[in-house]
This record gives sequence, structure tokens and C-alpha cells, in this order.
Amino acid sequence: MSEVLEVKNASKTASPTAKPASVAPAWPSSLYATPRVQAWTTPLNESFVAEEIVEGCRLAIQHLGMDGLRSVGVTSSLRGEGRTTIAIATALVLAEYGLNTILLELDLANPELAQRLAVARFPGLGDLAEGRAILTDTIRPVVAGLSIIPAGVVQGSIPRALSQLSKTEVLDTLVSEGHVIVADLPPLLGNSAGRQAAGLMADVILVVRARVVPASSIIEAVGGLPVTPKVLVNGTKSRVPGWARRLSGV
Amino acid sequence: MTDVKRYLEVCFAHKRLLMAPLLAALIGTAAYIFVQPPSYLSSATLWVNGNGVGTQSAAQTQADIVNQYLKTNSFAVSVAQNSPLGGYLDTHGSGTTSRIEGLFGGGGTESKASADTIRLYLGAHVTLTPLGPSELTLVVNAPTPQVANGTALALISQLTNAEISARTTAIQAQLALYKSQLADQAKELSTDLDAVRAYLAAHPSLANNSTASSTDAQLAILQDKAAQDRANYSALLAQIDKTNSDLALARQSQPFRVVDAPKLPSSVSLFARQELLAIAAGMLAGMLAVVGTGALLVRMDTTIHSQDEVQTMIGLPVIGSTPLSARA
Repeated sequence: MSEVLEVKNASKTASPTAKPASVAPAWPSSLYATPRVQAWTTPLNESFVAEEIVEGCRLAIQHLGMDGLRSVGVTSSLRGEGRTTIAIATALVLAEYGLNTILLELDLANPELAQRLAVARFPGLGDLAEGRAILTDTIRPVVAGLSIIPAGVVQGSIPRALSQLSKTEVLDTLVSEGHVIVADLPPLLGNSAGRQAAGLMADVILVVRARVVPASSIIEAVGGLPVTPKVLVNGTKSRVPGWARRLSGV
Repeated sequence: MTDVKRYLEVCFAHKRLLMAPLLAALIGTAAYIFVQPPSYLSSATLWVNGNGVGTQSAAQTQADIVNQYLKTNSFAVSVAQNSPLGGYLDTHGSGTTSRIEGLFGGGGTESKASADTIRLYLGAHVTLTPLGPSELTLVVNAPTPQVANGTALALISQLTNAEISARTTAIQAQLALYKSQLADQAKELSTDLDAVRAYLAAHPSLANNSTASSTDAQLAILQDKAAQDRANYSALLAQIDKTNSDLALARQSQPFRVVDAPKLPSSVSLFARQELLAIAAGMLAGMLAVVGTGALLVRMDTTIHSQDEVQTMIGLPVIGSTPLSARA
């Protein structure tokens, strides 16, 4: 908490156009001023998340319960199961309910959220963890009640950056400010960052893409997680044509 | 019901994979048909004279008879010798020439086809189908138009000969017996007449005296025997005449009449019996492969299809589902 505040103070004393001392030249310096470009406020529509998915997440959130909801991470066993889309939809639903929602891009290795929501990709969590930015500079408003903190750039190792985020209590700060955090986590299999990032969350939603991932892989993925994930099955729409369903009576 | 739904889900999810064995079977069938020799069909319609056996129609009886003939080597060989089939089988063998070999002018080495080969070939390439009580269709399937037509003509000709031969054989045997008996009777009659003459020569008084001759017991016995033998001889002559008449009648009466004579086929028959069988077998094999592959896929599938399966398969709490596939 104290480190975050120090970072904030350091940023406040610096000129808006000045380059922080520890920043590598990975993006134009003008982006440090977090200008509110038009793209940041582009409203969410069908091109981001289909309405059917938002509706599915709406029901899932009702089932999960919003009382005492502080941080929820969205993960999956493997990449490509719809984790990021579900995270966006979940954040959108919480914002609809009037919660001050922050969408956190914790998949630092393969960030997609910023690009999909058409907001600046940095500075973000990586920069925050490595001391190149302050928290307020990383928050991008998307729609009313919903903001995003992109992944930014991680110059060191991702586990170390995640560990640093945990130490600096960024999430606690956000929660204490009245935000509800929805995090797009890395997948659980294939790297250690998934479990580490999931450990930062109070609740975890495990996205399981229907008819794709074997049950054994899911069991292996959730083994040893600090919290029991709640499953959201993605893509359950039947692939059986209507005529075949009528013929078989299913 | 859940199993059926899961089976259908897996099958439609892998429909391309499932179509592969069916496609392979169809390609295999097409390849098989292509390597088969071309089929030319020559058919004839026969009107069977006479009645059937028992409850069978005349046409069915005749079809059975022809099928029996086709199972004999002698009949098959006589058909082959009197048609282009013999020469064709000598040149090409029973394997005949496929469409591919035909494209490159392929033939085969000349070797005399055995009687068994000819019999088996005819059995597989001749079809008899009763069309009605007395009407019968004969179809010959051959790799060239000439062989098909020539074989059909030879088959009808040989069948006619065989049927007539079967009917006349018994009459001819009876005629031969009658002739043999007639020869014996003629000798006996000659002997009897010689005995009468010898008796009269030994008793000249009886020759000019009719009263005396009529009272002579021995002469009467000899004359009675000669008269009896003459009567028998005459009876045998009458039998032979009748049998000759029967034989002529049997030779003239045809077992059947050719209503439509076989014609030279002008085009290849695309769907002969073997081709249809191959297509049916290919379809069946393809369907079995589809069902087998589907069953294998379902057996190997351990993925979650719906939220109802989450608790049972991975033991985790489920909070919902989304119908559309939201992919990152």
C-alpha cells in the first residue's frame, strides 16, 4: 500500500510529459499522461461480446451472488476456451448492476483485453509492478462503471511481477476504494502464472469450453488451487441440427 | 436419452471425420467398378410351351431346368464352343479384361479355358427371370457385345437341342427295343415257316389234300405257331410305326418359343448385377465404418458437453453456461 502511494506521489510530482527515470522506451512518452483518447470510451457492443454470452454471465453472477463480492478471476484449463470474453462479459454485468468494476488484465504473457476493448495497452499492471507507473495512470475507463487496467509491459519475469503486485497490495487498494475486480487470468495448464494469479483472487470462475477439454485435463488444472473454482460452461449450444433432434427425440 | 444426445453431439461435432470412411468406401467402390470389365447385356424373352411341375409355373420350371443345365460342364462347353465365348475365355481367361486394361489395349495370354472355368463363368453371367406363368427372360452379361449376343443365341440353341434330346432319348430307346424284338420275331417266324414247309415236304399227301391236312394235328400245331408269330410280328411293326411317329412329333415340338430374340447390345450397361452388388456392399461398409467410428469417438470423448455433466465428471460447483462459444 505504501509503495503504491509512493508511486502515486512520484507521478504527481513529475511533469505530465516527462519520462519517468525507470521507464524503458517501449511506448511513446505521451502515453504516460494517460490521455483519454476517444477509443477508451467506445461503448461495448456486439463486436466485443455477444448478448447471449452477457446473458449467460448475468445468470452466472446471480448464481455466484454479489454480496461480498470483491475480486473474481476468470481462468480456464487451456488457452482458447473463451476466458477473456467471459471476463469482459462478467465485468460488464457487474457494471450493469451498478458496481464500480475494474477489469484487470492479469494474463501478462498474452494480453488481449486492451486490444479488444480498444484502449491503450500501456502503462499497465506490468509497469505498475516494476515501478514504471502509478495506479491511477493505469486505469482506463471503458463504459460507465467499468474501467480496465491493461497488462502493460513486463520486462522481468511474469511470476516476479505477479509477486510484486501481491506485495504492493494493488488489489487491496482497489477493493478498499470500492471497486469490484474482475481479472482475466492466464490459463492454469502450461505455466505457473495461472495458479499464481488465481491465488490473488477471492473467487475464481473456471471457464470450461464444452466438447473441447477432456475432464482429466480440467481435474489436473484445478488441482492445488487455493480456492475452489466455480465452473461456467462455455459454448453449450447443441451442434445437432433441428431435424436430427426431432428424429432422435432428444 | 442422454447417451443418444451425447452420441449425436459427438457425431455432428466430428461430421467431417465421420464422412471420411463413408467417402473412402464410396471411392473404393467406384475404383472397384472401374477395374471391372465392361458389361454388355443381351437379353431374350422365351415363351415356354407345356405346363409346370407341381405348383410351379411353366416358366419357373423351365428356369430351373436351364439352371440345372448350366451346372453341367458338357452343356457349358457346348455353349462356349458354339459362341464367341469360348474364344474369348481362351484369350482372356475368366478374369476378363478390366476397363483400365481395355484403355491400354490389354488382353491376356492365350490358354485353353477349362470346362470348369466355362461352367463357372456362365453360372455367374447368365440370369433367368420368369416374367409370368409362361414367359421367361434370359439375360447374358458379357464383356463385349459380340460375346453377349453370341452366347445368348448359343444358349437358346443348345437349350433347344438339349430339351429335344431329353424328350426323344426315351422314344429312341423304345424304338431300338422294338426293332430288336422285331428282328427276333422275324427269325422265329422264318423258323416256324421252315418247319411247316419241311413237314409238308415230308408228307406229300397232305400238300394236295386239304381234308387230310386239316385233320393232321402236327401240321395244325406248326401252322398255329407260325400264325401266332406272324401276328406278333405285325404287332411289333405297328408299334414301331407308332414310335417313329412319336419320335417325329417330339422332334418337331419345340420346348419354348423365342418371343424376343437376343440382339447385339449397343452400349455398356452401367449398372449390371455385379456393379449394383458392389455399390450396395460399399454403402454398407461405409455405413458400418461411420457407426464404428462414431462409437469409437463417443467412447474416447471425455469432454464436458453441458453444465449437468460438470458435477458428475469433475466434481466442481457450476454456476452457469453460455450457449455461444466465446473464444479468446
